Amino acid sequence: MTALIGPSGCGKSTLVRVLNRMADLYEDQHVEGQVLLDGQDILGPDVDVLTLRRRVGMVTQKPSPFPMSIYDNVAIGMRLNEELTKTQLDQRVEDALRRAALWEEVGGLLDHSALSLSGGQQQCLCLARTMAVRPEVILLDEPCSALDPISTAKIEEKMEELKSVSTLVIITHNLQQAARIADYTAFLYLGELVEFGPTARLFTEPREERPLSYVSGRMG
Amino acid sequence: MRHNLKTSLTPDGFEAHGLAHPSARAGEPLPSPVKLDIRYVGFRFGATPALHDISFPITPTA
Repeated sequence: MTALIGPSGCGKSTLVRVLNRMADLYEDQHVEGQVLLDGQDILGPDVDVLTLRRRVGMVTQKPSPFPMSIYDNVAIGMRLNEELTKTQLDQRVEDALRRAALWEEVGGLLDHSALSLSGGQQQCLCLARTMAVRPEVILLDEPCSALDPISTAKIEEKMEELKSVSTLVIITHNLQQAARIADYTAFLYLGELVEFGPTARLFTEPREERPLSYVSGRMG
Repeated sequence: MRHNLKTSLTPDGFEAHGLAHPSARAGEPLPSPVKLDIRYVGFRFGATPALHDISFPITPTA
């Protein structure tokens, strides 16, 4: 797992939106360079963006469940991308909800509206929806910023498990969270990558002054 | 000032607050295989540069 940290406005979300071509949706934004996913440049003109976004999933800061049932929220990506039997779909929905720590709470409420869930449950549901299509990379844009500590602990626990199957990129303003869960950390400042390295080193012996100021609280 | 700050941010300091990274705590090697390699040279909002010369690898842990 790689964490992107830095003050507001430093480009973390902008960078993440490049990684699954969400930046394409903004007419005034222009990307140059290369982003290689297993050696393939995902910024290339021949890339199927929908396929890319299935391979590179995203969980946003604000829970964004669709106005449909809990079951359909998790199943929608699989219905669009795969041909599964009802039994297979049921199993994958259950698997995803279990991996998102939500099955125990909503397993008997699958036909209920996702909008009836609490904020923390909605975020877990969005994580389940993302995981259900089995992406190779998951982008997490401050996934815990609106959550209570218990929900945050649950999400972090699940992220630890996810590390074995997906490459994770997390944006967080919570430095303790980055220190807890990220293997590598990138520090951005005003659109520049100032420092990148193993999290433990960046937090304890940053080579640059700016990340030192940031992690020590001298710079917000 | 820098020395004092570094001292307060030693691995033991983070450990005391429950913040030590598991890999650092156990002395395990960090992962090496590269999955997503950002060779990123620029991003603009209209004519305004937003990101400059950003390049780093993002590696899976498995």
